[in-house]
Amino acid sequence: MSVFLLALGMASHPADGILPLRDQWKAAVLALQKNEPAKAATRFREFNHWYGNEPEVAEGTFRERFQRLWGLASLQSGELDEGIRLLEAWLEENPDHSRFRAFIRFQIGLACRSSDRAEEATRHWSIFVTQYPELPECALVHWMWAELELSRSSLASAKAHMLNVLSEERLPESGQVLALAAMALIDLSNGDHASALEHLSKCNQGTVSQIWRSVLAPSLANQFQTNGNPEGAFQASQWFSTPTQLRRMLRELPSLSHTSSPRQVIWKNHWKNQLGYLHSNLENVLDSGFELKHLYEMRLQTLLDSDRAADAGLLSRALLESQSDLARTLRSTAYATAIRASQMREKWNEANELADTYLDAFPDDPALPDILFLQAKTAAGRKDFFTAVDRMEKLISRFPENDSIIKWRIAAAGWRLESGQAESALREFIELESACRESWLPYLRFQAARCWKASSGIEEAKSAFRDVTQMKASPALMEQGWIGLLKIHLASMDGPAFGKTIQDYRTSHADGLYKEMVNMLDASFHELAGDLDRATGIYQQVSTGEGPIADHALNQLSRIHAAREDYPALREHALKWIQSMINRNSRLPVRGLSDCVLYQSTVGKAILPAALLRTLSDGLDSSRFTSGGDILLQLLMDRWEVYSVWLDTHSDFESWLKDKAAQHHASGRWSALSVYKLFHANLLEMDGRHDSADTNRIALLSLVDANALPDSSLFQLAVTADKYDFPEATLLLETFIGKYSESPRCPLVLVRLAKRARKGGERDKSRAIMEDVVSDWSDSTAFISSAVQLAKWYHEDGLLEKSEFLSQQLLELGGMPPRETAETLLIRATVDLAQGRRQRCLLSCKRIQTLYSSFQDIMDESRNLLRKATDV
Amino acid sequence: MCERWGLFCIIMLTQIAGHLDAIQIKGIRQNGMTFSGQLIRAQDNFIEFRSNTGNQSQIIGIPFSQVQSLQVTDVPGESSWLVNLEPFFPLLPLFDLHAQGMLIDQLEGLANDEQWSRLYQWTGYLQGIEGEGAASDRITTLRAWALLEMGLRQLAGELLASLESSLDPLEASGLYCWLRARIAIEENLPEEARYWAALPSLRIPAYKGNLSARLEELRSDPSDPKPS
Repeated sequence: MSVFLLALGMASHPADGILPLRDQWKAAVLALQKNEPAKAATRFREFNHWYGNEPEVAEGTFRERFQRLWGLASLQSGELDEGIRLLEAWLEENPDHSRFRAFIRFQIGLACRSSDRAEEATRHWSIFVTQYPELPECALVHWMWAELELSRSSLASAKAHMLNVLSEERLPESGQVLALAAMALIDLSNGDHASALEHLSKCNQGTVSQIWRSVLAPSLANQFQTNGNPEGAFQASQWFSTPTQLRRMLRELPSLSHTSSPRQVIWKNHWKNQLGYLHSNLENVLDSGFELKHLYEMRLQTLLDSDRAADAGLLSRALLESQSDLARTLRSTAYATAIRASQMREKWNEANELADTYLDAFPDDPALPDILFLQAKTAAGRKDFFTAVDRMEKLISRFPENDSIIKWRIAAAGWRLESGQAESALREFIELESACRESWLPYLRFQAARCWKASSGIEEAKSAFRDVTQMKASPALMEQGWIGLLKIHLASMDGPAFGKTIQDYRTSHADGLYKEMVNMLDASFHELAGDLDRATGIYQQVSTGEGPIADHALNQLSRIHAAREDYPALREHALKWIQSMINRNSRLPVRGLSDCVLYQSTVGKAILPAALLRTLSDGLDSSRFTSGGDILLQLLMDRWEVYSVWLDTHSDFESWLKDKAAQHHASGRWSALSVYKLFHANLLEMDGRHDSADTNRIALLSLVDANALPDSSLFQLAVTADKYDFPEATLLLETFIGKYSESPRCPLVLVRLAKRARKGGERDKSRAIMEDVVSDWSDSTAFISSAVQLAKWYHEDGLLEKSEFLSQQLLELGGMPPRETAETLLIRATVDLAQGRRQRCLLSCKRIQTLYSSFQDIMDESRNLLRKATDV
Repeated sequence: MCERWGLFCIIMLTQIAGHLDAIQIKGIRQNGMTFSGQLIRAQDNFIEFRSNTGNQSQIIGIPFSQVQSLQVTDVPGESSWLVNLEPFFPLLPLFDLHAQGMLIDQLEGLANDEQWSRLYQWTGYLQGIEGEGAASDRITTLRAWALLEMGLRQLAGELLASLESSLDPLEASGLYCWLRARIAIEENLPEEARYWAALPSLRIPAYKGNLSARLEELRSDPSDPKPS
C-alpha cells in the first residue's frame, strides 16, 4: 500500500538551492499538487528544455524523480505517448528501484490500453501479474485484459482472465457482483447461456446485482426457450423487472465516495467504468421499447414449458381477473395459457369451459383460430378423437388461409388415425409431404408408417419406420422409428428380426431417450417367448428407475409373480414397492397392496412386517394414505390375529374400526374417519346388513365436512344421500362435481343429478345434464346407459327428431350391450311410429322379438307397439 | 417576531435539555409560512411544538385551522411512539401523504410486535382520513390482519373481499395475498389458497419480501392433485 501512497511523494526535492531551476521545478510540482496535470506536464517539459542537460538534473536520484513525475503528469493530462515513453524509460533506467515499479507498470499498461497499443499493454500486464501476484490490483489487470480479449473476440482467453478476477477474495462484495456480471456477459458472447445463468445466480446482493439480472434476464430466458432449456428459462424469468422498477433502480444506483489516495483512485475509476457500463446497458434496455407485456408472455410460456402447469393456470387467472390495461393486452394469451395449463393437468372440462367462455365473449378476436385449435386439442386429450377431428375440419374450412394451416392438417390427420380412420389419415399424410417444409418430412413419414401399420400394411409400415431411423430427424423421432419397427417384430414374434433391430437401436442410440421403453419391449418379447426369468430380470432393472415406465415394469413384475404363483417373490416385490413409494412420499401402489391381499389369502400368512404395518397405520391415521386405505384395512382384517398384536390392541377388528372412527371423529380428521367408517359400512354390507351399512354411511353424512373427503368417500356418501333422497343429496353431488370434476366417477354423479332434476320436474335441466354426460364422457362406462336414457327423455319430452338421431347413432355404435340395444330399438321404433316410419318400426319390433326375448319388459312393450303399428 | 406569529402563537423561552427523542414535525401554515419542531401536544384545537433555535427553544402553539399541512420528519425508532401520538389524533387529517405513509410503515411495526388490538385501533383512526387509494388499501389490509390474528376470520375475510374491486391482482401486496391464502386455508378452499399464495411469486417482478417464506409454505403440495 505504502508503495502507492508514496508514488507521487513530493515532500522535498534535490533542486532546492538552484534558484532558476528551482522556480521552474516548484511551478511544475505545485501544478501537480493542485491537480492541474496539463499545466504540470508543460512545466516539466519546459524544465527539461531549459535544464535537462544540466549535470544536477542528469544526476541519478533527481533524474529518477523528474522522469517519474513528468511521466505521470503526462499520462494524467492525456499525453499518453509521452507518458508511456518517459515511464518505460524510468523502468529501464531504474531496475533496482522497487518502490514505485508496480504502480508505474500498472499505469503504463493502462495507458497502452487507452491508446490502442494492445500488444504493449498485454506485455506490461503479463509482467505485472508475474512480478506482483500478491497485489489485489492483479484482479484489475486481469479484468482489463479480459475486456481487451472480449473486444478481440478471444472469448476463452477473456473467460480465463475473468476467472482470475473472481478468484480474488479481497474484492468488495459489490465488486464481486460486477465481476460475476462481467463474466456472465462473456458467457453470453460465447453462447454459453447456462454458465451465464450460473454466474448471475451467484449475484444475489444489492441493487447492482438486481439491475444486471433484470437487464440480462429477458434475453437469457429467450435463449433458453429457443434452446429447449425450460428450467433455465424459468430461472431467468424469475429476475424479470418492470420498466418502472428498472427506472427506480437506475436512480438508486450507488454513487462512489470521494477518494484522493492514488491507489483508491485506480479502483474508483474501475468501478466507475463498470457502473457506467451497467448504466448504459440499462438505458439501452429501457430505450429499446422494453415491454412488460412481452415479459409476461415469456413468463407464461416458461411456466408451461417447465411443467409448472398449475402455476401457469394461476397466473393466467390473475391476468384474466385483472382490470389493468396490461392484462387487457394479454387477454388472449392468458386464455390460451389457461387452456393449455388445464390440458396439461388433464382437467378437460376446465379447458373446455375456458374455451367456451372465450368463444362466447370474444367471437371476433384475432386469436380465435388458436383457441379453436386448443379446443380441438382438448377433445383429443380426452381421447374423443371424433370430436377433435370434427372441430379441426370446421377450423380448417373456416380459416383456410391461416399461417398454421399445415400444422392443423398434421394434427387433424394424427387424430383421424387415432379415431380409427387410418386410410384417410394416410392419404392426408402423403399429401402433406409435398406441402410442408423438408424438416417435417421424417415426422410425416413416421405418421404414415403408423397409418400403414393400423391398416395392416405391415411391409409398408416396416419400410416407413426404417426410413425414419435413417432420415435426418430429431433423435427422439428416430428412436420412435426404431420402436415402431420393434413393435411390429414383437407382434409377429419374429425373433431374428427383433434381435437384430434391438441391437441396431442400441448401437445407434447407446444412451437413448427411450432406452427404458425399448428394454420394456425386450422384456415383453422374452415374456411372450416363455423366457420368464430373462423377462423378470429386465423388468427388475427398469423398475429401479422412476416415472410411468418404471411403474409399468413394477406392475408387470407383479403380474408375472402372480401368474407363476411364485408367492415368496410376489411378497418381496410387493413390500419393496410399497416401501419405495413411502420413501418417495408418493401414493401407495394399489396393485402392490392387492398383491399383499393375494399373498395373505393364498399363503395364509400375514405379509406386512411390524415396522411397515405401523408406518402404514400411522399414514392412514394422518390421512397420508387415504387413497389405498380400504385395501390396507382389508389386509389388516384378513390377519387380524397377528396384526392386532403388533398394533398393540386387544380389540376385535370391528371394535378396533369403531374405536378408530371415534378417535378421528373426536379430532375432526374427516378424511381418515371416512375411510374407517365406510370400510365398516362395507363390511356390514357384505354381511347382508344393508340397513346397518347405510346407517353408518348416513351417520357420516351429518358428521363430516364434504370438502375434506377424498374422491371415493365423497362419492359413496353422495350416492347414499341420493339413495335416501336426503335434502343435502344435490349439494353433495354438486360438491363432488366441483371438487373432482375429472374423476371417472363424475358421469355417474352427473347421471344421478340429472335424474334428481327430472324427478323435481326440471326437465330441461335434466336433459342438459345428461347431454353433458353424453358429449363429455363418451369414454365412460356410464355413456351408453346415459345416452339411452337421454333418447328416452327426448321422446317423452316430444323432441322426436333428437330422440331418433341419438337412437340411430347408438345403434350404429359397435359393442352395445344387448339390453341397451333392445331398449334403443324400442325407443327408435316408438319415434318411427309417431313420425310415420311404420316399416322401420315393424322391423325393429320384430328384431326385438327375435333377438332379445329374454328381456320380458321390453318384449311386452314391443308387442304392444307392434300391435299399434299393425292396426295403423 | 410576535407580530408575525400574531394572536395565534404562544411563545415561551426555555433551555434545551439534552437530546430530543420525540416526533419531529414540519408544517405549512395557511398563509404559506413554514414551521418545524418537536411535537408536544394537541389541545383545544391548538397544536403545540418546541421550536429550537441555537441553544434556545420556544414552545409555539398554532390553531389547527391555521395549519395547511403537516409532515413528520423524524420519529423514534420503535413503534411505541405511536402510543405517544394518540393525543394528536385530531391532527391526522392534516398529515401529508408522506407522513401518512410513514405512519402506515410504523403500523407494520405494530404487527411485527403482535400488538393486534392497537393495530386495529390505529387502522381505525387512519381509515377516517381521506387518503390516497394505495394508502387506504394498505390500511384496510393491516386492519384485516389485526382482525385475523384476533380470531375474527370472517370479518377479516369480508374486509379483504371489500378491496377486491379496487385492488388489481397484479398489484395486490404480498401481505394481502398472504392473508387471503391463510383465510382460504381456514375455509378449506385449497385451490383458492394456492392461488393467493403463489400469485406474488408469479407476477413481474416476483415478490421477494419478508413474507416470501411464509407464502411458500402455504403453497402446499406443488404436484397437481389428480382424482384417484
